[in-house]
Amino acid sequence: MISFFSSTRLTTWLLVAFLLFFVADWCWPAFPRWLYLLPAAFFYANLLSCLVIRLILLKKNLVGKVGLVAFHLGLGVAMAGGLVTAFYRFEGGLEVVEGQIFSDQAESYLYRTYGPLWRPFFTDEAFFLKEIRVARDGEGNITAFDCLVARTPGAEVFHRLAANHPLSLSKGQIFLSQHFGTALGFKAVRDDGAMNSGMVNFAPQQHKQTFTAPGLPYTLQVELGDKSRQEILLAGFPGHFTGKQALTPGQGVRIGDITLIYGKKTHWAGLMVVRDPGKPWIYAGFLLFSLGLLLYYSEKFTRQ
Amino acid sequence: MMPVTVQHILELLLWLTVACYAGATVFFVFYSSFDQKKLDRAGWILTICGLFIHAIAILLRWNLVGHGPYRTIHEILVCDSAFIVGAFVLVGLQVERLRASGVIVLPLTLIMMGLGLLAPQAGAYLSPSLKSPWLAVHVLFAKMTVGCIVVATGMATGLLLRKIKSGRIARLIGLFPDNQSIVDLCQKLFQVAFVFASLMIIAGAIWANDAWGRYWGWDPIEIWSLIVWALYAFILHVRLSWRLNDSVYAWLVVAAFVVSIVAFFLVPFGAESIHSQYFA
Repeated sequence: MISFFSSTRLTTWLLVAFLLFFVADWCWPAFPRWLYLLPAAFFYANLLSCLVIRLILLKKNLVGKVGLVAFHLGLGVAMAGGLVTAFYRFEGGLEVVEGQIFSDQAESYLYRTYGPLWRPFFTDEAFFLKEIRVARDGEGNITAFDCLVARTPGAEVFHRLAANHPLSLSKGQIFLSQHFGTALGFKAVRDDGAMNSGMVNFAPQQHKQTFTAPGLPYTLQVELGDKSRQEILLAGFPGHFTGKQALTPGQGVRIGDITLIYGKKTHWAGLMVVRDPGKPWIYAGFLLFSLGLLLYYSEKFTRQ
Repeated sequence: MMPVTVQHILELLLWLTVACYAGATVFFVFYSSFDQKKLDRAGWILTICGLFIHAIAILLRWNLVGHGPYRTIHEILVCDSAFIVGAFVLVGLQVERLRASGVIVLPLTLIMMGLGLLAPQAGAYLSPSLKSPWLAVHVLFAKMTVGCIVVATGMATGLLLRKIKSGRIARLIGLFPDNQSIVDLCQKLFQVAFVFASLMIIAGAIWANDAWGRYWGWDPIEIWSLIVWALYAFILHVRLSWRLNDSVYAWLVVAAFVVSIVAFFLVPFGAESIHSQYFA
């Protein structure tokens, strides 16, 4: 039994199974992905059996053996971390705009995704987001978003959330995603005085975006104009507003009984809140794996 | 007269590199026909000169566009071909008889250089999340992996061509070491490639965690890098556990090369992925 689980033949068949599942997943969108867990479970048993039968009993000098065991064990720990992440991770996303002011607990704005075994005890630490400022370098390029973040209301502190520099909370982290896109503000004023406002967010290097203006029954196409003139081009879909209109900040266009006013050009970024209890396992796995490689190759090098 | 710009110098250096590699290929081909040591030596010197000019061109472009060679297809192909030649030179310094594999490795490099030179050469916008020290580690290990795999494939192809018993190819393959030495060297290169691929994935995961809030996202590029890593691990284990025929092993190396090309060059530019915004 144990020799079956520790065989390279089993590893080969499991890799073939993964390959077949991968092709099936590619060709058939409704492929039940939980099926990947079956070969993964056997693969895990295969790895652990190999560790016990082959590597620990291997006739090799101590350093080389410890190295081999450590990097295989590192792989096992990282795989376990992957499972914890898959089942227990919490992730929330939010688009924040320069100058935006929140009056509520920021977590209530998050679009959330949970692992199937996620439990509320991972979210006992709320955070409050009050105001977003933009930091620029000498050439005017955005380098960071300064967010007024607090763990309790009234104790806000500005934190610099730059790309690659997350803010760590005790049970999670707040990330600023890589997007430092352009955001356009619009106001729609109806003839009866009713007013709505909304934003159109462009990803970096994106120049065209469709937009359902507040109060408008149909979608418009917004195109970023010349950078220096702060101009945008507004175009409607055929059958509705078919004209094209270039607007500068403060200018409006009349569409039916609505005046759509282009407010100002600002910037936005994506903000993420992540709580991933699998992460320490992953890093421990990476560490063991790297340490194992180092020991194994240092032994080989010394032997040569 | 048109003023000479850094761009012109850069282009000149790249074409000089192509000329050196093409010249070296010609010398290696003649060496395979006439078996004269000085032809091999000329090919080897031209390869090293080409690599030197190639490295200067890459550093010059780095300085010109303000970021490393990982943003556009031109940068990636030109830089990866330098790593392939670098791995070939390292192997050639260790085992002189393997310099003959230049007949296979250098034309592959020339094709990559040609494709790179045909691609648009303008610089591209660098997203703020790319400005991380982990990027350099991640990309460096990816390129070193490619270098090792291409050189191993050159040697494995030589082993497979051994079935041809007459003509110029048979003479060329006669210059290679015996099958056992080739397989041993391929295995060593695969070990190194496996370590590099592992470190590439680890560096990428740490960087992704800082930039995107997750260390792994089953993105097409991540999946393909995992496939490549698993395949290298499989080849290493198969060689250790089973008594594989040398030709079967060589075919496995060629298969790993094909999968690596798909993972490193086709998926990043073809698949819809969060990584795609990093490649222009």
